[in-house]
Amino acid sequence: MDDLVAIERFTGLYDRYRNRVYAYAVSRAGRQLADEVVSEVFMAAWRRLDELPGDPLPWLLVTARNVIGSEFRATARQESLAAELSLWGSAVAPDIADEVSERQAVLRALAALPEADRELLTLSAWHGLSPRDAASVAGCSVATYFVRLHRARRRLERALAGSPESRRPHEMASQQERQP
Amino acid sequence: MDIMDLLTQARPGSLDPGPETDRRASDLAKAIATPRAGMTAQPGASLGGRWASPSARVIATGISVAALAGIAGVVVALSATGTPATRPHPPAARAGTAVATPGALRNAILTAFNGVGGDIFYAEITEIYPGTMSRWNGIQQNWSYPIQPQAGQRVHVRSVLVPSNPSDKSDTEYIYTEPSGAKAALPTNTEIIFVQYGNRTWSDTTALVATQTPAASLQELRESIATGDFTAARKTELNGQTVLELTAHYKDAGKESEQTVWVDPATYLPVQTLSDGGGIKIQVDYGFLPPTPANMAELKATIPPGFTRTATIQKGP
Repeated sequence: MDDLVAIERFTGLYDRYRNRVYAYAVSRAGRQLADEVVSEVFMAAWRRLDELPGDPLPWLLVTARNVIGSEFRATARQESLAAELSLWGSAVAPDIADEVSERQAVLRALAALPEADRELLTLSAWHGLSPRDAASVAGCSVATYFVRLHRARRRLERALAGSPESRRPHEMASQQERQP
Repeated sequence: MDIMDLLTQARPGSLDPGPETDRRASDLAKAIATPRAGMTAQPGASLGGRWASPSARVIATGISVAALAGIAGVVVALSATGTPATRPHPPAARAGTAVATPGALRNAILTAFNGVGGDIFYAEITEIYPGTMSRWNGIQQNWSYPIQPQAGQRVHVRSVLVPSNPSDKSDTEYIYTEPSGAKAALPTNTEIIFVQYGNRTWSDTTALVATQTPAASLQELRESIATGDFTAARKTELNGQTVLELTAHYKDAGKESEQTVWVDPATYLPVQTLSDGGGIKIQVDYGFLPPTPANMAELKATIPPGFTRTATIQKGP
C-alpha cells in the first residue's frame, strides 16, 4: 500500500475508533493510562494496517486488552483503575435525585465486581459490542460468553441490592406495589 | 428496569476523551513516522520503544490528570491547526568525509550525554505532516532542568506550543519534586502554570501529573545510539556548522523510515535530528545550557501583560 494512502486510511481509522478504544482503556485501566494504551493500540494498527479485518473494532480492543495486561506494571494499572472506579462512585452527591443516586449505585456495584465480570458487562452495555465481538475480545466462545455474562449480571444485581442508595428506589417501588 | 439497561444508562462521561486528544494524535503520528526495528504488532506483543513527543505527552497527561484531580469538566484545546510553520531543513549532505568508526563515535556521544546531566535541556520540535494530518503541524519549544534529576530534586519544565494558528498557542510551566525510582511512573504533585493565548488567560493549579520531561527524548536518542541503530557516520555541514552525521534506517511492515542525527564534533552532543517516514517529518533542534540565572529564566512561563488570571484551566475559545 502506498504510504500516503496508508496514512489517509490510518487517519480515518483513528478518527472513527479512537474514542471507542479510549473508552475501553478507561474502563479497564483508568484515565491515567488510557492515552498511552490508545497510542500503543494504534501504533500496532499502523503496523498491521494491511491485515486489519473489515470490522477492526474487536481487533483494536483485543490489542488494547493485551497492551493493558503486558505494558504496565500491575501496581500502576491497579492504582490508575482504582482512581477511576472511585471517581465513578463519587462524582455526584448521592442525595441530589433518585435517578442520580441509582446511577451512582450501579456504578459502585460495578466497581465492586471482579475485573472479569466488569469487562463482560461493559463490553455489551458501554462499548456496544455484539455477543460475537464481545466474546472475541474476552477470548472465549459465544456460548461461554453468554454463560459468563449471565453470572456477571447476577453478581451485579446482588451487589446492587446490597447498596444503600439502591435500596431506596427499590424499596419505594415495593411499598407502592403494596399500596391498594 | 433490566440491570443491563441500568448499566447502559450509568455509563460515566469519563469514558469520552476531551479535545486534547488531537494533540495526542500528533504524538501518535510522530510514532508512526519512526517505526523502530524489531517492533511487532501482534496483539499482546510488547511494542518496545516509543518515539512520542515527551513535551506533548507531559501536557496531555497533565491536563487529563489535572481533570482527574478535581477540575473535571473543563478541557483545554491543545490541537494545532493550520499550515506548517516550516523551518529550514538540513541541507543535503555534501560530499562527506568518513570519520571515526561508528563504535568509537557512539562511545564519544554516550560519554558526552553523561556530562550534561546538570544542564538545562532545550529542544525545539518542528512537525510537518502530509494530507489531513497537516492540522497537527507546528513547533514546540521545550526546556527542562535538570536533564537527569535525582530523587527529591526540584524539576522545572516549560513547554511552548506554537502552532500556525495563533489562537492555539500555549505556554505551560511545570514544577515538581522528582519521585524516587519505584514511584517514577506514578503521578506526582505538580505546580502548573498554563497560559492560553487564544482567550488571553492564564491559570495556576496543583495537580497529580505523571510526568515525563522533554529530556526523555534525549534518553531515547541515547538508547538508539547505544543499541547501534545509527550505522553510517560522516562529516558534513548543517546551517554553516561542521557536524557529524549519523543515519539510521528502519523498515517495519514494508514501511521505510529514516532518522538522522547531527552531532557537534567538539562536544559530541546532538545538534539536530530529523525523522522522516511516510511523508511525516519531525525535526528536533537541541540545546544544552548551563543553569545560569538568565538561562533558568527560560524555564518560567511568560504571562503577557493584560492576560486575565482564571481560577482553573479554562476551555479554549
